Amino acid sequence: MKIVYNYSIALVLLCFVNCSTKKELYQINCVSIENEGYVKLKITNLIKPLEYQIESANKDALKTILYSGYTSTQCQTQKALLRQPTDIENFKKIESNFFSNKGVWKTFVRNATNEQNATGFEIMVNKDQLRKYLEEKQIIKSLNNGF
Amino acid sequence: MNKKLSFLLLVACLSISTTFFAQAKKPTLIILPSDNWCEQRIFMTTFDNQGTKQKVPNYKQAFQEDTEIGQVISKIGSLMIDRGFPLKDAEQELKAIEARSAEDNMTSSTATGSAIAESPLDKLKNKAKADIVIQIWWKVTKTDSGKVVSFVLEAFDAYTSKRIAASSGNGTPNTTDIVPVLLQNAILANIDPFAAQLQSHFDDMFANGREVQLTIKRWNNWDKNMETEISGEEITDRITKWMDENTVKGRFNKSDATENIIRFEQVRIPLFDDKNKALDARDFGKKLQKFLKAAPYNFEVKLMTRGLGEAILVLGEK
Repeated sequence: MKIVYNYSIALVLLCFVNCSTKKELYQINCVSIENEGYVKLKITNLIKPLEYQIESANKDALKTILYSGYTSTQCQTQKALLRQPTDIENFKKIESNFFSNKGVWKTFVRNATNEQNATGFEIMVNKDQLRKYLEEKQIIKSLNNGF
Repeated sequence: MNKKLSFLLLVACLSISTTFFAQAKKPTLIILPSDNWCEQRIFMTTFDNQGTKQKVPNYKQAFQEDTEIGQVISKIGSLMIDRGFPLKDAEQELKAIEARSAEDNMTSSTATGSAIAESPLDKLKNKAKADIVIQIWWKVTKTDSGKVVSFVLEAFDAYTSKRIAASSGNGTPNTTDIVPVLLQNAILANIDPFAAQLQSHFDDMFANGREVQLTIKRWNNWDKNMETEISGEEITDRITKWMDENTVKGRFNKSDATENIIRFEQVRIPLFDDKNKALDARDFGKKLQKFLKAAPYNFEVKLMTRGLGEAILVLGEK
């Protein structure tokens, strides 16, 4: 009985890990850094590329800029906007509102191409405006903070 | 009674607001081309320094003659303004120094005709200053597959000469864009990593204090030296104790201590003094000067500064 119980727990955990991995499995490539604070990112879902929705692509592009940063020969290494653990903690408090249907996330993204192909979507993210928004909301510190 | 009470409340509110909303002195930033860039584009002046030929960058010539530097500085400047850090413009600063110097030369007292006092040391120090110097370097290389821009952006703390932020990289070979566009792309790719490192430096400064240098010397004709005992304690030891008590977490490095000189490096001074006023290297030196002027020492002490981050005290006379 105990073995069956342990196996079921392991199975549930395995399914959970797999699902979450699948959910987040996308590839980001920075195409260029544009004027006015825009960054052009190419985003591809590696698991189900043809079922990938533009809304998810936009949100994933924003999450890349917020949490992980990106690197490419065109854009060099750009670190995440949320660098400190406290920044992430602060953002987590507003994350669900931020990414909700009426959330402000839409104001920071626009699509360079609406058509999806095998290579995914090209998304333009206004990184400067996003940084300023986070600074205004006191989620991250501005460079002149304390002066 | 009511008036008294409201006055007291007002004073209390004011003191609380200064305590909580005190702000550190905002560092000034200036942007200059690196020496290597000036050398490559032949914007150097050679002068004879007591028999040794020395080359120094001729910034004025660079700003007047180079076609790329203006747009590079302007772009970096606008990106830094966006981050709340307007840069001192080196070209304008050089013009202002020249204008100030010309005006000083022409100014005389109406009563006696006396000119404005300026020592050779003052003349030497009359140059563009900033707390942080940003140096830029770039080179456009033509390859078989197109033009490649290599770009370096570095920031140095004028107080300590330490590199506090740097970002560099090579663009991808490009056959279509013109050089100004390639340079702009290079700046855009480098500015965020650069600003992030600058932020780390400021965070460290707020946590551990501003880093400065402090040197204590003696005049040759002084009848004491650093090993002289005052109230049973050597002057060096007493000054070291004072440093322990007045630096942030007692952080400093005594790199030299002889009978004639004590040199403190990596001295972390608080950003604010007891009255919650922003503190710099000179203010910190002034505090030590005050301490050495008081009993039981009663020394005459001259306070000087070198650059922005070094205070020099000379014991014996002013």
